[in-house]
Amino acid sequence: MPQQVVVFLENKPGRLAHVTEALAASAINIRAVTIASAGSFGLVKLIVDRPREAYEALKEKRFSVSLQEVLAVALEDRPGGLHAVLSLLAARGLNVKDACGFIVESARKAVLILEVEDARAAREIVAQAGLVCCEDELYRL
Amino acid sequence: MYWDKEIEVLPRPELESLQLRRLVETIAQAQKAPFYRDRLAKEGLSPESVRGLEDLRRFPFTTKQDLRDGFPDGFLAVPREEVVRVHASSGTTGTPTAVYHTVKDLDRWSDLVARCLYMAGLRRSDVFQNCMSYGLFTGGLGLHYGAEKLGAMVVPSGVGNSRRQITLMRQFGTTAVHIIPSYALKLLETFREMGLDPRKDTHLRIAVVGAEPHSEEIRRRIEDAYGVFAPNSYGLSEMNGPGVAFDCPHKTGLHLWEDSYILEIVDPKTLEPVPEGEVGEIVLTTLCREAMPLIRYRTRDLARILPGSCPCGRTHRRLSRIQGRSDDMFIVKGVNIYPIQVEQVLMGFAEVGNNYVIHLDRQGASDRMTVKIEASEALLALGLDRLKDLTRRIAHALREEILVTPEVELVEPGSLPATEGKAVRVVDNRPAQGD
Repeated sequence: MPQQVVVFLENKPGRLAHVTEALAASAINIRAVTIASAGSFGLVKLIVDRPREAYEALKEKRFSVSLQEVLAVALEDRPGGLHAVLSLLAARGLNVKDACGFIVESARKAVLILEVEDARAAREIVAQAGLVCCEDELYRL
Repeated sequence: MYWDKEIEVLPRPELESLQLRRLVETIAQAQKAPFYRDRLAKEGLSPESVRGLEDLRRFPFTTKQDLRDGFPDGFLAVPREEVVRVHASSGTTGTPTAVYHTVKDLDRWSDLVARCLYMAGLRRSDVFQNCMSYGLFTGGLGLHYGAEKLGAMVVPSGVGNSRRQITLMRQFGTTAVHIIPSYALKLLETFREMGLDPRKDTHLRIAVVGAEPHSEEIRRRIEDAYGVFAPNSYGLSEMNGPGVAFDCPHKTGLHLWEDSYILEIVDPKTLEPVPEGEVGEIVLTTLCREAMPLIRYRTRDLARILPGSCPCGRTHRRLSRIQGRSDDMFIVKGVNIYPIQVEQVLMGFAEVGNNYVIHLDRQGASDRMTVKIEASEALLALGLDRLKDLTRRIAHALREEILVTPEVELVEPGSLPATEGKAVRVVDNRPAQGD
């Protein structure tokens, strides 16, 4: 399963830059990033090319960091693509906790990252519809 | 089951006559030290003043300040050349204090520690890893010599270097450790990083946790995570160090060795004895020390004597856990608070790790208390909404316990003081009174 890197950050100037600095120093490429804040702190979620190394690099710098399994789906970059996936999950009662998407120009593809309650079950469902973007593909993009 | 059966189950009347005999000797010995020679003469007290144990109450207390004033030699009751070891307090709160030992003192101290360890279940076949600092601090050497006296094999691993600690445990088949509680919890992270589970991948069965006040919840966490019996230990450098009182496997309270110490519990304000079973300050008199006898030493530790007897059959009375240290108490908005109260509340939340600091600031005329808790990896799994909710629930639970509503903040690990020794729990940035 693909993994996203989740980092806890205090809501203070320069903290995010420390994260990107640590990743850049380890030559880790960030594919997508989302930030959600709750007043004095926030969570940064990163999709990177080498999640395990990113985790180690951030841990080394004493960040609070964890790896979470997510569902990554490759979609054709056209209307209705996202809906096709979400309706599959909704039909099976799987709750989507968070999501982000990005478009890969070179591949003319949209990649959807979904944080679902049961990532493995969700993967099965999407795989049956022939839609999965496996880990390798995600990291090679 | 007993290290020193005769002494450990001695009937109370005989234990008390032993105490009386040793008290008279102790007073005579104390008179050889400059401090007590002067003080006892001034009060008109001598060994002849002691006809019964109750006469001890005629003697003045000895305080930490007396020890500081007497530094370095005021309490020495033997010629300097008889002394073979000195231990000193860290002096973090003022002038250091020194405690001297003769060969006989060290032997008796080691024997008391061996008695504690044996009571907790340690045997000659055990491998005892001492993850404590060696040096002026009494915990490291105290347990080291005690475990050796008992006949266990000691691995003197010292503090820090977490991976090496774990490797040593595995290489030598360590069955017992002596470890600071906050470090025991921190070490779990290293176990995890190494892909090991202390319950399965070590032979640990006893963890002596000490040198830092900790709550019952912390002890339980250590016991659960390591699959061990973690006896509580009480001691202080002025009374040798570890070996004063210790848990037996029945966990009914800490047996205080009354053949070696006379225990009193007094009200810290009036200095009168508290009614039986109530919390007060522990006051101790040494009964077996040559180099530096101490009479009615005020420990500043708060505890109570537990009623009834223990199924283990030992006749020595039992102390409750230390409920706080009068020195550690801080006051916020006029309310007395002990750090251990805060810890008890925090550890009631399974998601909260052991890394936290209490910050005290002044905002205008009023005190502000902030509890900063490390956002551990385990917490991240909760997600943003539940994290926010968690801080609210913690603040609420703290208010119930300490009657002050603190700010509760989740912080990055790097925001808290990093330590492999005693954890810093309270940072008081308030200007001193009168500034």
